[in-house]
Amino acid sequence: MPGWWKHESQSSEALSQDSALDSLRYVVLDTELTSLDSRTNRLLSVGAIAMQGASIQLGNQFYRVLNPSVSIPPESVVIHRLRVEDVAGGEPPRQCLDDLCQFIEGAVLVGHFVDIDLNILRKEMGQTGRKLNNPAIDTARVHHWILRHGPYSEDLSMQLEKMDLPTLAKFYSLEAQDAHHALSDAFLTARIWQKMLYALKAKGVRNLRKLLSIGGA
Amino acid sequence: MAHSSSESVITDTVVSFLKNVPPFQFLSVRELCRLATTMTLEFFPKDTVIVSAGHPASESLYIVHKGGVKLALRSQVGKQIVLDKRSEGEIFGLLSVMSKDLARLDVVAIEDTLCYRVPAEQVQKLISSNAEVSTFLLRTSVTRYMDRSLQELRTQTGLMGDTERLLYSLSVSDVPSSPPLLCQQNTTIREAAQMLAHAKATSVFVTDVSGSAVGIVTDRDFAQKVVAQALPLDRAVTEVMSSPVVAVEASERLFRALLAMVSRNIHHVLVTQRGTPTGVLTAHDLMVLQGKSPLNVVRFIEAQTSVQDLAKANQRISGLLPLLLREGAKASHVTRVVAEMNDRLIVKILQFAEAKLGPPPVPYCWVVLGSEGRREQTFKTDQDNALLYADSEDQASAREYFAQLTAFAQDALLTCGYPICPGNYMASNPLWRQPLQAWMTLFHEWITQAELHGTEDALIFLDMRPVAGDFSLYQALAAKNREWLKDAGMFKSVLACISTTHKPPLGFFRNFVLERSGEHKDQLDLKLFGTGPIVDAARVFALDAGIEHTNTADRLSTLSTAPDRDPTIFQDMQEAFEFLTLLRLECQLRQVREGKELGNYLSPDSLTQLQRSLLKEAFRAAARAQALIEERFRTAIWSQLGR
Repeated sequence: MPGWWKHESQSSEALSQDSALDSLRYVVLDTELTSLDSRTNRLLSVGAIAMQGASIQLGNQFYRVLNPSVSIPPESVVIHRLRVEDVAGGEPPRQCLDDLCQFIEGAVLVGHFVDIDLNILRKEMGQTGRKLNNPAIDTARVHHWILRHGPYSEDLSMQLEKMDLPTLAKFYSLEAQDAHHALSDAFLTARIWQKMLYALKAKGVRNLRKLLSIGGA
Repeated sequence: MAHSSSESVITDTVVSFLKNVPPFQFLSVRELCRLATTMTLEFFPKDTVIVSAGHPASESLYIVHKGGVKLALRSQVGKQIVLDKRSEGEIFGLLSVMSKDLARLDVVAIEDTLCYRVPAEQVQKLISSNAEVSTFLLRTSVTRYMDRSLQELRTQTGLMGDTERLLYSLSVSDVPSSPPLLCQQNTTIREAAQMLAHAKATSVFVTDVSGSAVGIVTDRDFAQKVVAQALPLDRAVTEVMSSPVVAVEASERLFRALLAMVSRNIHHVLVTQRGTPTGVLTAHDLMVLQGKSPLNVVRFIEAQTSVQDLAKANQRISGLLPLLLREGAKASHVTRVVAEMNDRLIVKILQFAEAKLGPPPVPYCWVVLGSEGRREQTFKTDQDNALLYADSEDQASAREYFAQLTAFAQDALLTCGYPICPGNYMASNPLWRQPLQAWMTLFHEWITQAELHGTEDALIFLDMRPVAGDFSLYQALAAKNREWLKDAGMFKSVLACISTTHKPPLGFFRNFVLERSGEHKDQLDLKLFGTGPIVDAARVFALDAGIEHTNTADRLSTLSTAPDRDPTIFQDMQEAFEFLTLLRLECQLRQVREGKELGNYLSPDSLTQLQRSLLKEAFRAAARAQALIEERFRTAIWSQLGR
């Protein structure tokens, strides 16, 4: 039986829908891609950091640069600053994804617009026969929910339109740095998620079931 | 620009923060990177109780990354007395990590706060492995706590010490330690045991021919090594001794001794003077030392079973004052701690009274007045109190019962060292011991039919604060008062008029109001011209704004947050009040030491240049407050004076 099988079956079974938000292990992640074209794009880097409840475990982080063995469009290099030379030393995707599967075992995945991350990971994993079954939360959806359940604000409609990471960071009084670096962005997302967890708790969100209904991807 | 995948951007962020935080800044980048990976980042929304007093001590050291926390003592009625604050780059939880005791203080987030959390075992590892870190912890703490600069007073970051502070500020020689028992290496186990029994000691040190200690045998060794293993008693004591001996120099900070005990899990430390054994310090000695904390006085009060025993509490309470002042406490903290102790003493006395007289026929509420009501007592404290009780059909039996109760309390307070109030503002006075309805009538009269002279008497009652019994009685009265005060223009103007009677002096010497003759010739009355005007001004503004607080600092800080006012004047008054109170306290502390009569007189000659200029500013703030009152209530004041 291949090694990944074990991870996959555990991650989906261990999590009860009734789990309290504090008791969950979260892995907050971000990916950088060759492009946003979902047909042709490849995974360039993955950054992730683990949280036990609302506690960010600074030593429990994951960062890999992959070598997709394809050319990287210049317009995307400008964003993530990963050039062909930089990824040349990167690992082959298979090894990285194995390690990532192990890292996210038993965890709820969290990401900003996490669908993009999930799509690429599923695509890359699919090529080597893996599956990604962890429950996943989209911080953009959660933020949307929090705003609509918060005190009335005059610029609510404007706030609901602007959902990029720096805007959210500002909303939660956090300073962003090193944008578009997968691990930096994952860390920033984790810090936003940490504050969101308290906001959700204050609004009566108790368990995974409710959380998934709010922000599930 | 390329990213290196070998180093983590997250770890970099943490390390660059730690680089500026003592004592972590003394670690190498490599060590910091390693430490960072053991840490977690925690978020505490405003008002989160991070550590709760009485619960097991926190397992971690916290470094404030963003925001701030307060360290507070919880009072009997659940109020918090803030002892200290920690903000960005400062740490908390160090001592609880070291002592593994129950937490003594609440730590509460005063705003949304981010903290790095370092697990206890990592802290212990650091302290025992890195000399620079542990020395730095000591040194910075000492200088920070001991060097009470005026700058600190002004910015109100004054700090107060609990046991933690004592451990930092006292040296080993400050704690009386018993002389060490010494024996030779060829002493037998039996002889050593006999020495211990004879001296009623718990440890004996084994010395070599040169006289230096090479080992220690404790009562634990006798139990675990001799008895449990049935060792023959004529063996040499060296077979059961532990070595090497852990020693601290008498000149070292007490913290060192605690560190040695905790990190090695031992209970005895040899005290040496230039290498020669002079004493033995035990964990018990350190525990006794903790008796000098406010918390211990509280425990003492709670534990007493008679008024006679309780009488010793007063001494302990006033014993706290010099200690707290020496440790650099803010004046307002000192007076609050004293008020809390006095409150608990009253509660205890009333318990004794009820035990003797039986339960009260109707609920009552014991209230304190004046400076006691404002929690601003200094060394000199007389009885200022009153009693409210519920209205009932059977007034006669209530009258009878409360006459006895208040007489008991007055005597008990006297026994405990609180003199009778010269103005007879005491619950034992039938005038100030009334059913609720009568109090309401009285206050209503004061407030609606204001007279210059009657109002002066009412002043002391406007700072009323409930201490024991049924607080809802007090609250009912207070609620009515607030209602009546809303449109009591005349009363407020009378108050305003009284509050601006004593003008603070504005300059030194020439314009300073000094006593012209008598015992206090050329001295300045700090209360009459300093704290008094500020207290009075704060009261007028607070009553006008419907603020419930009685404490002057609380009144001023609430006033400074009101949206429609300029906060600066209230902030200035707060600082001025803090400074003037501290001067008063220190002045009285000196008088206590010199065995003089307590008073509020200060001789300007005794001040440093810096203190003088601060004093001048403080007076100026008080004068500005008075000007503001006159401006606001001008017309009304004139009409009062014209009458």
